[in-house]
Amino acid sequence: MKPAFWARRAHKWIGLAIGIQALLWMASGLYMVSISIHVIHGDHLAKSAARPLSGAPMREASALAAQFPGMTGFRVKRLVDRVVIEVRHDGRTSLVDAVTGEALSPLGEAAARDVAVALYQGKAPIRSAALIDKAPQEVATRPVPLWRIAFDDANETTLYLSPDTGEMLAKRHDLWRWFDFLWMFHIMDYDARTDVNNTLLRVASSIGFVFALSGAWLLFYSFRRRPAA
Amino acid sequence: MTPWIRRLHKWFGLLVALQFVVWTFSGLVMSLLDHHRVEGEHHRAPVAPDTRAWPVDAASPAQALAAAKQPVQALDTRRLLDRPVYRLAFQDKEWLVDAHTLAAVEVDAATALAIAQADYVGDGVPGTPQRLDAATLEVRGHAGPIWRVDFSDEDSTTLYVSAQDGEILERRNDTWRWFDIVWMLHIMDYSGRQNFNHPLVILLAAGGLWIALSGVWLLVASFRASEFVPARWRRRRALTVLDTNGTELRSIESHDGDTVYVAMGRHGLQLPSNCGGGQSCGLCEVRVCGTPPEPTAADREHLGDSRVRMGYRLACNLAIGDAARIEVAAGASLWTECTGTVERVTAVTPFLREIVLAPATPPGSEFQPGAYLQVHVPGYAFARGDIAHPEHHRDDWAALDLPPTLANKEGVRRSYSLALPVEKCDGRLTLLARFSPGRQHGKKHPPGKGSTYLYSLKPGDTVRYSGPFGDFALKPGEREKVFIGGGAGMAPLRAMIHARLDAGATERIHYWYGARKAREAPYVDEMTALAARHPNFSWHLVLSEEAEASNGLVHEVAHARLLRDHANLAACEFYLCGPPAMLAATRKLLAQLEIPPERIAFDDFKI
Repeated sequence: MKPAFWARRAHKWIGLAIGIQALLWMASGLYMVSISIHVIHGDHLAKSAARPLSGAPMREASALAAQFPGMTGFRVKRLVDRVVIEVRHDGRTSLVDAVTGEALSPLGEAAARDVAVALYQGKAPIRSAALIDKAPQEVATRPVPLWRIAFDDANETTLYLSPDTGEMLAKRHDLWRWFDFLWMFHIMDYDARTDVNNTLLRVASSIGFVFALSGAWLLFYSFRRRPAA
Repeated sequence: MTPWIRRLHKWFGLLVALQFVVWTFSGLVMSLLDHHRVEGEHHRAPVAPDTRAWPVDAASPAQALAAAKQPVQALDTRRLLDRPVYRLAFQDKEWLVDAHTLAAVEVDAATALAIAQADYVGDGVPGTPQRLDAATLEVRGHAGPIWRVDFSDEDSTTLYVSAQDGEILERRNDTWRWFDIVWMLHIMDYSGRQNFNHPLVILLAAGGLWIALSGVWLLVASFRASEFVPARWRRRRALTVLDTNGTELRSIESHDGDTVYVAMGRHGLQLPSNCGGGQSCGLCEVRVCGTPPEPTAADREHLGDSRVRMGYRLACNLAIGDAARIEVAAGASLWTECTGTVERVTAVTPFLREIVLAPATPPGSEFQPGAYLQVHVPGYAFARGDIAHPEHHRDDWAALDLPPTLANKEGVRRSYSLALPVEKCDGRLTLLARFSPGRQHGKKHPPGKGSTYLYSLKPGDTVRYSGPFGDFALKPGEREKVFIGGGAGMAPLRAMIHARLDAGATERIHYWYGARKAREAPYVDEMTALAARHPNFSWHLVLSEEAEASNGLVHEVAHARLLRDHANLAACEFYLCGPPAMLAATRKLLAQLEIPPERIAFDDFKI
């Protein structure tokens, strides 16, 4: 048989093994390159304003240390309209009002809603707010418990807040969820969607490489014409 | 529909093919490179949680903010090595002040080195920290200034320490560097290596998606269910191969699910094909005896409706179960290779050469005028000067722009028509080869591999060939015949005319032959003499570029002088052979004259 025959046969049978995955690679790849990564990250959906801290008097370090024995450090920042201090002690973090020292953590629902509304750049109202103990897949790497604040917009924007610090730990929306879903097919890690070194991917991409080579080899024959007399 | 999908798959494939290989290769490399190493985790020291109490004698946060004398968005406590410091930040800027004195803290080379060492585990020895005022490609995305600390380990680890706040910004090493190169190739951002939302990659990805979609279509279209059953479990099928005159050549056995092309290939019967059985080149046609199966889109695409109606199908698209008996043009020649000895070489014109072969075995009756041989052109390399030519053709050859060395790397086959009936020359095979000089002065296209080989032949040389092939042949009967040709198309037409006249034909035979100049027209004296001897034969030479004689192109002149005023064109047969443009123009003319297609035979040189 001629080389063209073997090239075609190889391409066809390898295609049978890897064709659907090749389609998934291309479809997911096209989605990922077509939508700006900044949109996927949701930078336009939620952000904190860059407002400086006020010069108002605040709690001394010694007062904080008295309030939280074993304090190893702290962070002064702004949370919505007031200045607050995250105090690190005993391997965890507590939030207090910077002026009064009033304990703010864990954040209650009203406070969490206030923080989420201040961060959110859209106009939709909050659809639901829940303190969750089990992180869903889309925030699997974040520590629990978490405030999940879902907004009633077309994109199903959801903000995840730490009840200990009030920090926004993740922002999720439908474009992100599609990206993550397609990324799962792209790297073929159907559990955690994070392991790019999994055996399945290694085997599939080896076959994919041979498949691409066989296709390139076949192109060589597909464009040749019969020689002239 | 499938032929269209196949064509678009093929052409888009050409555009996207290279990037496809790059994507799969870079993807494979990224999956093989351990991400843990890529991130530099294997040289990263484990971090114990900081349990040291914050010194209560330090300056208060309010004092630190007041001393900053500029807006501050956040204030954080930190340990720079062991020293308590405040880290202040506003927008992209970060800076450190001593927690006790509130004096600005500079991350100097020694500090950066100590930070890097504390972060590192391994055998490497750090070099002197280098200060970067702005981020390099390896530490892109961070604001400067930055300290670069190189370690002398097997992985060439480099740690980048922020000169603003002493944080470790990146942990780089050779694994990462390889990863970064293939990442660049994968996302096609060859300068910044981080933007994967640019138009080029979007365009290629869209093309790639089309390839994948059309490929899945073709995959479904090109598999037969029985291909998934092991061959020995499939029903056996017999296939009888006949020659076009009905002679049984051979019976072969194969399995259900094979195509006729594959079944014949398994028995060493290689049908003509360029694409290897992909319904792409249209060369592997066979005629099904009895009731042929429904034609597929590929059959109609490549063979045309009239041949499809006659039972022709592409062998690569014909299930063996659908055809018990098939006719193959020149079937006997498929598995025979013949040899012949060059007996005579005649330069008929500067670039048309007659080569007479004495075959080792006498040619059979299948060597009819109109048939062609496939000459097996071997690999060769010789100097330009090795092509001999007569003295009076010296100027024509000197004008050619040929490379100094003429070479052919691997064996190819080239088709040449018989230029005389074999009976007329004692069973010898006469070929007429036009020299194909390639694209002149463009330098891109080398001279023809076949014609260069034939022009190097000398009497006594051995030539290998197979054949004859082809369906260009004289039709039985005594209809008036009109031959129209040009260039090397002289060969089959000349053989046909000789055959008819030698057989004592009495019908009218017209031969219109076109050349550019008198110098380029072969066998003029021979044709003139034939016309003088046979009153029913007329010979018309049309020279398109001779100043005094030019009347236009051969088909135009034939039309003006014969066809336009012919009393009964419907009773005539037409035989055409010549360069593609001439052939196309002549066929168009005959179509306008409403000559039925079955009255027109032509040989298109298969180009």
